[in-house]
Amino acid sequence: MFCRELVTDLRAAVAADKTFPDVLLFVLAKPEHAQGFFEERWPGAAVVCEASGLFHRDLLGARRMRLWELLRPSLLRRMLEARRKGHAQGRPQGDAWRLGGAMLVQGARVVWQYRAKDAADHPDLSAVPRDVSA
Amino acid sequence: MNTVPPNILDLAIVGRNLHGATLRAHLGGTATLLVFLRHLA
Repeated sequence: MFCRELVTDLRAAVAADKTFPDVLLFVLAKPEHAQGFFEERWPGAAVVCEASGLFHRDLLGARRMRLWELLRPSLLRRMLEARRKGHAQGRPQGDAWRLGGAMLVQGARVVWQYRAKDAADHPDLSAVPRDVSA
Repeated sequence: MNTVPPNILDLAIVGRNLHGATLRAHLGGTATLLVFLRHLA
């Protein structure tokens, strides 16, 4: 459900702010599994399908969660919050233990990055730099 | 990490609405926010 929430928020941010950078999504799924998800939520999104998680691991450095992290009360609160926003839990595709995050790049240059602290943690989209010309 | 390593930039990518066969080709010189989602669910 948290990926649905983030994709919805990203699409809204892109639509609302002409200065928001281009977005490239990385998903831990095969193309055939991602197709229905994005057809429904953001058909025009650029999406890299990487079932192996190589970009998550070797580019972002995203870690895998431990079982006990799913038991945090804060995670339950965030699940209820996401449900109130209309995001239901679907059938999981891919590595459910790998966390996410974001990275702003210009060519090979990394301008800004954020690694999620837990399953419900999203990057603050208002903190993403808009001007990277420096 | 201050730069994306060349071996990562030159990896082949597959997916939807991509502009090239590698990450380097898709990015070009445009500022791009790479968003790494958790599993689809």
